[in-house]
Amino acid sequence: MRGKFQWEHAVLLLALVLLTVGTYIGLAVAPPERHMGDVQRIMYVHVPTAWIAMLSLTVAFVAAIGSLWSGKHKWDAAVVGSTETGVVLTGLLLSQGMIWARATWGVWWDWDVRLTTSLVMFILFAGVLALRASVDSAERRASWSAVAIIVAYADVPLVYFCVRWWRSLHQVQSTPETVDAAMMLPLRINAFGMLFLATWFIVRRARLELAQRQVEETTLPERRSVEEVQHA
Amino acid sequence: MTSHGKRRAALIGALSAAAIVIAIMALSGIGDNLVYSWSPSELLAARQKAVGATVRLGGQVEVGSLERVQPGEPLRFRVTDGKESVAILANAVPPAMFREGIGVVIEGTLRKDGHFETQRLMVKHNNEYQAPEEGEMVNAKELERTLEGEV
Amino acid sequence: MPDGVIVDGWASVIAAYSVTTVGLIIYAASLWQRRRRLERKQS
Repeated sequence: MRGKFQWEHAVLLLALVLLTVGTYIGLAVAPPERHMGDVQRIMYVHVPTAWIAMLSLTVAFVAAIGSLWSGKHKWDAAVVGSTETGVVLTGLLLSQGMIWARATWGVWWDWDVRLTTSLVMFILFAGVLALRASVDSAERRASWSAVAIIVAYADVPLVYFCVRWWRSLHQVQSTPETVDAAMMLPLRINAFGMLFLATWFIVRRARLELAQRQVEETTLPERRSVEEVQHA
Repeated sequence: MTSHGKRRAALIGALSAAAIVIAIMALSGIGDNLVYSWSPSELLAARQKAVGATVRLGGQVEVGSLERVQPGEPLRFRVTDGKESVAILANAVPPAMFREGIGVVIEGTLRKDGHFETQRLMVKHNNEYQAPEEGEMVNAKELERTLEGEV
Repeated sequence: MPDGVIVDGWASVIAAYSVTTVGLIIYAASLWQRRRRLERKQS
């Protein structure tokens, strides 16, 4: 496990370079927004965080399907990695959003659909992690959390589409046509940076899960169920 | 039933549950019942019923309606939807983006004298992000000058 | 204008980027710590 080169560290390096360059351009090179002023620069971290948080939870959804279908440990490890990363990013997303809201809308929080569905997303997936922590049997932990993730995932498309479906304080998605070209560049660079950073988090957390499971199985053989022996 | 079969049954159950939730939210028009805000026309039409209740009023800050006030006094302006407009008394420090013509959502109550009083003033932003034109720059100092004049 | 200060743009920008950076570092540190604990258990 140790000493061997692990490919994800190259991805981390790339992520850090992209995030540094993107943030530098966003804070020092890109123009301020004509009505919003400098505070608009929060967009270069907020929008990539939102995209990659939803992407991580989508990976969790796919991994949960794989885990229930096959029962393989690898899928369950991917479930933990992507759920935990998605929850961390959603937590940061809400914090950045509150800071941006206070400066542009004038309030820290408002119960509009986008904010509410995003908070629900955070609570549901954090709940999945709490559920995992409370189940001892690895087999049951994997199935229960996979089921919970699939049901919780119903909220993710709502987070994305709610601003189009219903009146809200939060604006609808911007497109390259509604965003100045000078602002699109740092946004794109940071989005790829965040994507690679999340990849590193997911892979590291998944490897940790597999290693933990291996230790559990070698040190506590009496806790292995018949089922696990069959699948080992 | 094997645990293998149980897992796959759970998978189908979970996927169906998620699909049903999304379909209900998308198709039932649940959001149409969630009134986020009233327009000035809607508020004035319901005038008697609306007096005293806490409601949200959404619209644009009417161009030319923003008054200069003394420091410490509430902001005075009108909110319009293009047809009707309502006079606002806002006891809130506005965000830097606040200006005439911008979209606002105001949570407060309509008084008998027709003024809408609020402590919660929210400014809306659309999805457009543009660079400032020559000589055009927003900042808090500028807004303070517009609202209170040169001190 | 009622008493109070209009929120400054740059202060909010710095706050948002700091919160994000600190949050990501804390999560990375937690992963590292959990791995260390596991390695100690193994040896």
